[in-house]
Parts: sequence; structure tokens; C-alpha cells
Amino acid sequence: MRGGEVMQQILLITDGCSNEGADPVKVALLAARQGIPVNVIGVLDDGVLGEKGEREVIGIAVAGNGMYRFTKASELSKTVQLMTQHTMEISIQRTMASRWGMNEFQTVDSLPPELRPSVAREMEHAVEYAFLEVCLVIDLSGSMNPKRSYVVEAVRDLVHTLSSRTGEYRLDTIVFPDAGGGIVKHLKVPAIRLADAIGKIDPQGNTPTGPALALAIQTLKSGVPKDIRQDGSRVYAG
Amino acid sequence: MGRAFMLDKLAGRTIIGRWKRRTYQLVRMLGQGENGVVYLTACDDAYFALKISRDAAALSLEWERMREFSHALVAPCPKVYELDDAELDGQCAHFFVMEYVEGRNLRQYVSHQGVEAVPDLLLQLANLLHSLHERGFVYGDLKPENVLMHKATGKPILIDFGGVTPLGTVVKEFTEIYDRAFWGWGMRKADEHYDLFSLAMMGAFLYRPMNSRTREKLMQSSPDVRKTALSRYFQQLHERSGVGRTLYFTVCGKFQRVEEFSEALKNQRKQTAFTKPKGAISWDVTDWGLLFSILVFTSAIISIWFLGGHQSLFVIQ
Repeated sequence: MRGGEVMQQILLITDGCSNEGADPVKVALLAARQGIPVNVIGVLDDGVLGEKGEREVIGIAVAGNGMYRFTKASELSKTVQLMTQHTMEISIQRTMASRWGMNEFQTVDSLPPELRPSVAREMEHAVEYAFLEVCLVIDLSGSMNPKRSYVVEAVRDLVHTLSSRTGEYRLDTIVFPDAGGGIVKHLKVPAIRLADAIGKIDPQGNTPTGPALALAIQTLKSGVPKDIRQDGSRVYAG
Repeated sequence: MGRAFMLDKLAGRTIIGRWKRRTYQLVRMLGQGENGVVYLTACDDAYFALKISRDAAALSLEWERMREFSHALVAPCPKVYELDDAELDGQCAHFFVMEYVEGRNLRQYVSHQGVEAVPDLLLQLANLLHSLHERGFVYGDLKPENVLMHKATGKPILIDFGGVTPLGTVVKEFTEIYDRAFWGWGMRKADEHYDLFSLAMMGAFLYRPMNSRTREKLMQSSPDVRKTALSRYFQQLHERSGVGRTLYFTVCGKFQRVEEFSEALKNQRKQTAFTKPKGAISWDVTDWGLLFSILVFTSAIISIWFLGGHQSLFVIQ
């Protein structure tokens, strides 16, 4: 088996405007500078998010070099999967570009059509085998309460997909606001118990999206394997 | 992120292939897949279907896989022709051209033919899936929207290959209510049973659709709750049709391979040929007796009417 690539991504699930701590757009910019794309899903109530919330969602994704989507709670699960998958494809495409004689801003598009399938096949393989590190950042502030059960099932579903991949993964979850008096909280539970743990949280407080994103960057940067050796062991930085 | 053109609003426009220089007139939209939109297109006085997308990599992979399978003896998908790019409002889009298959969608077909046609349909689809498995692929996102009943041959054909996944890797595309992991019956890994599971669910829903409220409720429940709800659903289905039992066994993983599934379905059908299905229109002794007495009674009335003159019978004197 080839030593896989290591891919990191942050996925923020929110429904509104931050109102505490650092500006999330600036934090997202910081993440992007460190090579971590920040994707944002705006969860809608009856099809609306409000202009301010919408602007923030777009702002974070653009600054974070990621994608954004607005979705109904009932389609959250599907959106989470699509985004995770698509982000992996983009990262792989960037890292593999040089191998195909392209610079990192060129994509498969620049090749003649007949040559694309073989590149696409190699990408598909790399996405399957890569070591994937996802940091979920979940807004559990009051307005998200009616959508909580959807969030719980979407997380459970994501774990299902991640564990069905051939490549290894690491999943971290930051929830905010923190029920225990802090601002944000890093949930340290095994992936299979993660969904139920989120279901049990009863948070009260503000919406500190910025600090939550900052903790996500810190989490991904600490103890992060830099590479996976041929024998499967991981090489840690520092 | 702002895009100048919408992929689903291209009907009426003309595109020119950047590499092959052919001109295509987009007549009307035929359908929408996960990674592209399909149009009916006219080129050199012939009709084709054309799938257009922004994702060059995914589209080229779908094209290649369809091309590989369109040489099969019983082609599971439409024949594909060229893969090309087009410029639309200054931006690049990617497309491929395929055979235009005229036909009905699965729900229309079943509502026209009746549910009696379902077992045969499932057997034919199982064969198509088998041809994919033999070449190391799983279809993945099997659902009624991805099946077309060919007008000319009367046989089903799979029309979207975007979800076709190599065996042993994570399933690329799926739809919750046909997905094994959603119902708590296994991983989201591409194996033969993954396709069989979707096939069984599709068959079951053709007999007895699940209403959208139940569906919405299940989206918010854990897979354990869904699993229980599913066994209840199949219990009710079984009372209506014997096929329900075979389908439930498939869902539970009793049949892991397509051959086992087809075999069970065929046996089941043989049995039902002898025992009359409940609820279907059938005539037993009482029905015939009733019909007979009605006929006797009617003919008696008519003869009395003729014999007694035309008015005398109904006029009280």
C-alpha cells in the first residue's frame, strides 16, 4: 500500500451570527494560510438564514479557502458528506497536479479529454487511501436546538462514511458554546460515541464562532502526523 | 463563487465542442444527477443525450466507466460517444454525449403494468448489477430515478454512472432511503450486498411507498430506531405480497450475492403461481354462483316482461 497523503479540513456547521470573541472571518484566514480549508454549512430555518448570518457564512468560507452551502436541516447529512468528499478531491488534485505536469492552480480541466480518466482514477484512489483529518466545529447555540437531532444523525452518518473508507482518519469535534462554563469545548470521545455525546449536551450561552475555529486550528496542528510511512506508522511533527 | 450560468438553465442554447468542434443544440432538460445535468440534444439531424458538468474529473470517470460497459452483451447503460468541453459565457463546462434512450421511468412503468411486474423487473435489474460486479464495480446509488424502462426493448437500463464505485472502497453516492448504512444494516462500503440492499428497498417501495412524513421522522432517529421501523414495514408488506419476505431476507443480509437473490426470487414466484395472492381479483365458487344467480334472475325478469306484454308487469291494475 502506498503511504497516503495527509489531508486536513475544518467543517463548520452553524445557523447564525457569531457574537463573542474573535472575528471568525479573520480566524478562517489564518487557517487558510496554514493550508487548512474551512468549509461552512449554513443550516436554514424554513429556507432563510438572515442576511447577516448569510454574509458571515460566505465570508468565513471565502477567507478560509473553502466551500459553503446553505441547506435545510433534513439535508444536512448529505451536505456534510458531499463537502467532505469534495474537499478531499480538491486537496488531492492540488497535491497531484505537479505529478501531471500542471501547476497547483491548474486542474484536470487543462488536459485533453482522453487523458482525464486516468488522472481521475488516480485521484479517486488517492482520496480513498489518504489519511484524513476532519475537525467538525458545531454551533449548538439556542437557535440550533430544533435542528439538534438532525445534527446528531449527520455526525453519526459522517462517522459511518469515514470508517467505510480504506484510509485512516482522525475526527475531532469542537462544540460551542460550552455547557461547562468555558467558551468552546473540544469533545474528546471516540468516534462511535460522538453522535450520542453531542445529543446529550445542553449548552447555554453566546455564539463564539471565532474562538471555536481557533481551537479547531490548534487541534489540527497539535500532534498531527506529518506523514504516514510505508509500514503504516505515522511521523509526527516536532 | 458566483457563476455566470446555471447548468439547469441551458435549454435552447447551442454549444460547440472545444476539441472535436461538433455543434450541439440543447433541446430540453431530461434529468439532473449528482454531478451534472442531462439534456436532449440535436446534432447532425440525430438526437442524443448530453450530460454537462463543472467537475471535469468526475465526469471523465463516469464517461470512461459507461464506455467500458456499453460493449457488454446486455449493456447496463446507454452507449457513450465523445467527451468534450464547451465555453459558456466565458466559462468552461464539460460534457459527454450518449445514446438517447427513449423510455418511461420506473414509477410510471409500475403504475401502468401493476405491481405484478415488480419481481420480473427486479430479476432483470439484478442481472445488470451482476454485470457490474463481475467487472469489479458496484453501482452504488440505485434508486427509481436512475432506472429507465427502454421503450424499444421493454428492459430496464441504468442511466447515471456517477455513483459507480470500485469494489471494496467507500460508496461514492447514495440516497438515504436506499442506503444500507442509513438503515443500520451495514457499512457504506462497496460490496455486492450494498447494491442488493438498495435493489430490495427499491422493490419494496414500489409495492408500498413510504410516506414523506415517516421519512422525515426517520431522518432524525438513530439507525437502531430505523432498523426497527424497517422490520415493521416489511411485516406489513409481507401480508400483502409474498415477495416481501424475499426482499426482507435480502435486506438482512441472508443473500449476499446476486445469484442467491435471483434464485430466491424465482423460487418464491414459482410458489405463488400455485397459491393465489391475497387481495388480487380471483374467482372462487361463491363468485361464480353469484354471477350465475344474477344471470338467471335477469333472464327470468326479461322473459316475464316479454310474455306478459310490455306494460302489464309494472302496471298495477
